[in-house]
Amino acid sequence: MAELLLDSAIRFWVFMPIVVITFFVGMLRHYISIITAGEKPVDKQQVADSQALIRTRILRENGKYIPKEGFVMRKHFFVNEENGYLTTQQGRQAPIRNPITDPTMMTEMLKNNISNMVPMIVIGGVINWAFSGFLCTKVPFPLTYRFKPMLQRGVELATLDASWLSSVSWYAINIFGQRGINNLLLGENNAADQTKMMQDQMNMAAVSMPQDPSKAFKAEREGLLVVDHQWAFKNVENDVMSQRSYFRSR
Amino acid sequence: MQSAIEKLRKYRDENYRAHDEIIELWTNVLSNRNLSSLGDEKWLILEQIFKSALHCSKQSIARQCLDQLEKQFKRTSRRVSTLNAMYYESIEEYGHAEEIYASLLEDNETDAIVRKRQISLLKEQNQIREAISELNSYLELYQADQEAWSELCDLYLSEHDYTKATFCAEELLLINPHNHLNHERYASIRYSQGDYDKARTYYFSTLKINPSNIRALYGVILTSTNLSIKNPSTASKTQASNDTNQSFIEQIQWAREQIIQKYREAIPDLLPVIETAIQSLTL
Repeated sequence: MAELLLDSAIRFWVFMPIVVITFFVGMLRHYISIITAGEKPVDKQQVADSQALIRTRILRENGKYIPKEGFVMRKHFFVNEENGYLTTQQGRQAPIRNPITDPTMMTEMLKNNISNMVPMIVIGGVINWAFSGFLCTKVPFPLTYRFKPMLQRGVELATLDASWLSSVSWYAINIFGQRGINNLLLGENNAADQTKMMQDQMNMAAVSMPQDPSKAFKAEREGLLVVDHQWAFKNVENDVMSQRSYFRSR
Repeated sequence: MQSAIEKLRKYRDENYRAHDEIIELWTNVLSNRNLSSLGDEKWLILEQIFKSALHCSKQSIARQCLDQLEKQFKRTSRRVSTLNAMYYESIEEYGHAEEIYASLLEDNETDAIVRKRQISLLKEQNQIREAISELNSYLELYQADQEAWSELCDLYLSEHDYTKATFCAEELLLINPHNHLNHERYASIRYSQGDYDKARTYYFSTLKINPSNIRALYGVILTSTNLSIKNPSTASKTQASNDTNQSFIEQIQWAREQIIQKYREAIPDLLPVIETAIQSLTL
């Protein structure tokens, strides 16, 4: 396709302003989300569940370091048919978090959607209105014909190369591309706020719990049933004694 | 002053226990200066100094820090309330502290830190049984809390309840299987119970992880000695028990040499003391 030369005014008054706008709006959104984020009340049951899962996991992984009686005792506590911890908790029906009926979930979802989508749409619309009708930039690799209607909104030229982009698509590229820069910069800004107490509370909460604990419990129970106890210290005296020459040199 | 701030920051990040040094830094360097140039870090430093002052029983310093924090954050802040209650604990106004903790727990049932402070309140007032039962109910919720298991182990040991202490020590082993101190603690509890076989195994596992653990070396000597006493090698016994006795004696020899070598490397002056001590331990 013919080489097009864009007016250098586009560079100063369209290309860079879009970058700057995207960046600052992202920052603004971040700070607003910090201010408006309410403190999430930690559910007691969730904490208990996540801690129990941690304990079963370490039992599976590190069981070989404790004597057989200890391991068998704990395994029995967890997987026993009538009153094992995992079996009883499995039966408990997880509260179905239907977003429509549960008001708190609803407001949470609404807040998330509003704070993410609306600014993007609004600014996209503004840019479309303000900067339409001309080409903004070109991507350095060739694109197929199918991308044209998507990326060249205001400019309907049938013979134009698909690599040329309108301002709106440049805005979209910025949105997705600047997530990396935001992580870099905003991570730095949180320097003054890390204390052991807050981290402790966050560790206790273990928020990455699946919504459905009974599935997790079932999986853990099956995992525990399979594990066999191989005591790691059956022959430790001989191991240590045979390494005597190693010890002597320390 | 900048180096003092950096040092405090390092202690905070790495959870270092150097309370004397922190108080010294505070009294010499920081208390006379105006800390507002640090911005938000000022409050973190005040909190850190407060806790160190409580550790060193310097209540006046603690009171100063607490006053500044309260002026800034008012009474509604949970963190400041907890610190306030800790101050009451240190001046022995236990009722007051208990009130504050109870009200904080009403607000947020899952606050682990406040629950642990309640338990330590009971411990301070020497109500060990209640502390144990509270800690047990705490652990029913928070099953993987290493600190809590360690504390429960200590409480059971103070009550000489070795079986339960063994259970807690096993939990610690599960959480941190490569910490040689955990192995050594478990071995010592087993030894106090009289289970010389398991104790010996775990003293050896301690040595496998850390060959410089002197207590484990002594433990090897003691347990092997005790086991070989129980297992007297007479002509009528089988060859196997003779073999085990032989290996016991070998291991005792080896452990003795190790101890002497370590002391020779570290503090040679103590060698004669060590040698007489070892003599008295063995057959």
